[in-house]
Amino acid sequence: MVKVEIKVYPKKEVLDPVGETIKKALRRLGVDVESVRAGKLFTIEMPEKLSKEELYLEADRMCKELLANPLIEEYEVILCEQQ
Amino acid sequence: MRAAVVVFPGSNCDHDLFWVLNDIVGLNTAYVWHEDTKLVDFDLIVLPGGFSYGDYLRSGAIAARSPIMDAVRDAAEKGRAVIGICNGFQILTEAGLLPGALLPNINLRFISTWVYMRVENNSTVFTHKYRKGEIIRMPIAHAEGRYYVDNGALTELQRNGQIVFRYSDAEGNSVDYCNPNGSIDFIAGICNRAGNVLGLMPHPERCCERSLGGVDGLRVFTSLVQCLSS
Repeated sequence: MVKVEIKVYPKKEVLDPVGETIKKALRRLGVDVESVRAGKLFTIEMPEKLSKEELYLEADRMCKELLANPLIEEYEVILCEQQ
Repeated sequence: MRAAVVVFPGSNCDHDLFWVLNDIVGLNTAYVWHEDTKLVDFDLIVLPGGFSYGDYLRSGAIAARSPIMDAVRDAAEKGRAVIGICNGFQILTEAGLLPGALLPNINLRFISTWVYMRVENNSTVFTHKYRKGEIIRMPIAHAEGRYYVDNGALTELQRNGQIVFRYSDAEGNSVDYCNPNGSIDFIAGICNRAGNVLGLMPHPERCCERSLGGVDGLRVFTSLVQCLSS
């Protein structure tokens, strides 16, 4: 199998109170943080027989149809090197 | 006249709605399981509140992809009345039956309280028994109720009269402290362009009897009964 990672995070124009709260907490720890966006990471195993192109297409479909809400979220697909 | 209450795993307002629809306003009401694929002969379809699928991923996201939703979409397109309350509203936006999205409350807390709202549009099948501008009081109970749309879509909602309820104070002023969750433009409830699909975060079914602290929600259902029977 091959591993696909999908990152989903709120769009810049959408207020992200979770990220803002984490930012404040990090600053309280003395870290010089400029901004934090809190998102989700999905690790998905796919069959090895799929080509790189097919994997990207399927990942894109998963994002558009379920994993991300395009109105409020952006996503990024990362194909991990085979073990 | 028949009403369907769609039940998802994690719905918890389904029995309240059944009681109001069946026993208080007298509609012939049935539960429909989310794995069913047909909604035949229902004049009204209700998506109840609750925590479908534990609010996993995004609230309403997984329920919006369940088998019954094709039938709900089909019924909406045919002009049947569809109402989504709280989690039901979240499901309707996730399914694309209503524009926008419901994000975590601005203060990141679950809010359970009573709110005032102004009736902005009383020419829908859900609201014609209210007066335009009337101030009503309903309970809310949600963690993800911050309504969001982009500016273009917001202008469309305003222009088409699709904003049905706005949060306000008891006098009807939309002032910041009355917006419980940080919703854009104080939006508490919207309808689709055709006016037959309504979504709202407050719970009208929880305020239909005096013993529950208020009756301001009842007219949503009596409005529907009158429209459906004529």
